[in-house]
Order: sequence, then C-alpha cells, then structure tokens
Amino acid sequence: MDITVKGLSKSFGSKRVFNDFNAVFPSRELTCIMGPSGAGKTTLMNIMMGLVKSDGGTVVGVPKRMSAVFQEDRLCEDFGSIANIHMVLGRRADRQTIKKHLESIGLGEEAGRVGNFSGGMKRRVAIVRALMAPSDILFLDEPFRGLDEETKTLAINYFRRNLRKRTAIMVTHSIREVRELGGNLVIIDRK
Amino acid sequence: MEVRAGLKKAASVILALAIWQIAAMLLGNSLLLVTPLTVIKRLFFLVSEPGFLSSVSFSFLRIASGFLLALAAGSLLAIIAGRYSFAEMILWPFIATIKSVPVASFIILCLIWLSSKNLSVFISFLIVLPIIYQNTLQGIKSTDKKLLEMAAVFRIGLFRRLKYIHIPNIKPYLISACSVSIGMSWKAGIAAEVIGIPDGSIGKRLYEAKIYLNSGDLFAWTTVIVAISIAFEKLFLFLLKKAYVLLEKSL
Repeated sequence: MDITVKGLSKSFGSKRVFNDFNAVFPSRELTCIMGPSGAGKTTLMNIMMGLVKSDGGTVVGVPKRMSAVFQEDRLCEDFGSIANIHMVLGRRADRQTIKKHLESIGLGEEAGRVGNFSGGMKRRVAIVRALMAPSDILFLDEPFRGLDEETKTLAINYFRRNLRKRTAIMVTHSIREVRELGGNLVIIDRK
Repeated sequence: MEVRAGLKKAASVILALAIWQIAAMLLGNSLLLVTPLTVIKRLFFLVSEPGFLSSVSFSFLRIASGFLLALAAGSLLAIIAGRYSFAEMILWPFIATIKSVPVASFIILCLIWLSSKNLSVFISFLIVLPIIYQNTLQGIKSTDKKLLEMAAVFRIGLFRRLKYIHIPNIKPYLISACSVSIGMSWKAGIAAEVIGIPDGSIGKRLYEAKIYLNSGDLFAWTTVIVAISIAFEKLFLFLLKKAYVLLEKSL
C-alpha cells in the first residue's frame, strides 16, 4: 500500500511549515526527499513516524514496523556497537551476524563504548541498526552525512544490498546519492 | 593516590580520637564523656557477650529489610510515575507528607498500629521510600527524549527499554540515593527501637545504657551501629555496582 499524504498542514508558532501539502510515497520503493534547509523535510518524516502531530490533513498507509536513521545518531553512548544493534533486534540476531554487517560497512572489532566513536563510525552503526531492524519501512534523514567518500561508497553499497524491497523514505541534500540509489524524488520548496 | 587519600583519612581519624581523649581527660567525668579507650574496652566486652550477635542480627535483619523493601517499592513507584503523570500527581501528597513529618511522630503513631518488634522495618521503609522514589523518578525524567523516540519508532518493548535505556540511565541517581538512604535507614530504625524498646534489639541495649547512665556502653553500641551501617552501605553499593557491570557485560 502506498503512503499518501493529503492536505497536510503544520506550523511551529507563527512559522508555517506545511499548508495543504500532498505527496505519494510508493510502496516497496525508495523515495528521496530534497529541498532547502528549513523546508520541512525532517518535520514531514517525523509526522509520518508519529513523532510530531500535524495540525491538519492525513497520512495514510504507514506500516507499523518502522526503522530509522535519525538526523542525530540516537545511539546509547555507554554501550558498544553490537549492544546498540541488539537493543532493536532482541534475540533475532546473534553477535556473529551483527559483526558481519558491521564489517561490511567498514566497522571492525571496535571495542568500547559508542560514545568514544568518531561521528562517521556512529553514523554507520545507526545505518546498520536501521537496516537490520525488522521493519517494513525505513525513514532515513541524511543517513550518509559526515561520511568520507570511501566510507560513503561502502555505506551506499551496504544500503543497496540490505534494503530488500522495503519502502524507504530518505531525506538528502546530495544529488549524487539520489543518482546512485535511484528511486523516486519528492522536492519540497519553501513556498 | 588512593593510598595517600587513605593515609590522610587515617591521620584525621587518629587526630579526632586524640582530641576526644584529651577532652575526656580534661573533663574528668566519665558520665558526661568517656575516653575512646574506655569505649574500646567496653566494645570488646560487649562483643564477647552471648547476646551481642543476636542483638546485632535482630536489628540488622529488620532495618536492612525495611531498606530493601523501600528500594523495591520506591523504584517501582518511580517507574509507574515516570510512565503515567497522573500517578505522580496521586503519589505527590503521600511522598511530601512522608518526607516532612518528623520521624519521632511516625514512630509514636506506628507504635499504636504495629508491634514494637517490627516497628524498625516500617520506619526504615518510610524514611528510605521518598529518597529512592524521588531520585529514581528524577533519573527516569532525565532520560534523553530522543532515545525514547527512537525506542518508540523501533517498537522496542518495555523490558528492553528498561534494560538498555532506563536502568543504565538511573545508575548515578540510584547509587547516590542508596548511599544517602542506607545511613538514614539505620538512624531511623535505631530511633524506632529506642522508643519501641523491642526485646533483643540494639535499640533496647542503647535504652538500657541510658537508663543505667552507662556512657561506656552507650558509646560502644553507637560505635557498633556506625560500623554495621558503614559495612552494609559499602557491601550494598559494591553489589549494586557489580550488578551494573554484569548488566553491561550481558548487553
């Protein structure tokens, strides 16, 4: 079932972010959202995830099983990378499987707490967590931000391999990412 | 560094004992102030008495039970209050009352309801409950909202939320609450025993020392209480920290 956003409106104080916004996100496909800063891309994703309430309009067809790479990494900084992924998987995956996923995105036997990781390493843990989690839809808010060219290529390839025909909605500022990943494109402008 | 700090502490204890000894010698009245040497002598005598261990275990079991019950109840109530704001509102007047009513009033009131034998359990419980509740609730409230949103999006269940987010997050609050409340539970529990005078308790031994104007025993029993309280606090905090290490290793 496609996700349909109809007549969406949202304001923060006097700032109107959406006024009668409409869009369709096809099921089992990747849709990239582009637009200038402050256009409401993250707000739209937060509304679809149920984290922010809209002032009006409807969002229909969002599956219940969701996973996400948030704008911030939102990891438990006191735990290691495997524990952070175990948290969303429960008993569904063993350590070896998680390790293989981490290795395929360029993270080896990084010991210690995630809080001591670099920004790029944290980002990759967040990507693996989102893709390994049992979900029917992925929300990705600039998932490859802060990665150098080499790790970005690794991460994009990992993403491609593990998306497995799930619906994905991705906010990005990079035309290169849209081109490499393909899929649909929704552009939100400030008007 | 730790050895140096330990030596400094030991030196300050020796200095305090020396001041105490000199003050007692200058006063020259063992009824008002006994010397530390007299206390040590009385302590050795009391320890060798047949009723010593039973008095210590009587008070320890009750006061420690009161503390542990309050730890369980306070944590549970804090989890409920953290989840449902109306529960926090309902609990607020009870917690505020328990916090502000003097311990002596509770002891006298509870003597009407309870047997003096188990009074110290309830009084320790009452003193510890608000400390554990408020600290744990503060810890729960200080949890990063963004992590909770993440948990909601990934539909992480309550058990895993507790294990991965809440329990690690309340660690400093819980340790600090336990550290403060163990000493308080002993103060309140012994006060309850001194007023209730249950047979075979440390409180009764203290009361008898007062009645017979036996300052040596009074000081010796006080030393015993302080020693047990500190030992219990150290042991409990060690076990609590160990439990956290095991939890972190299991993740």
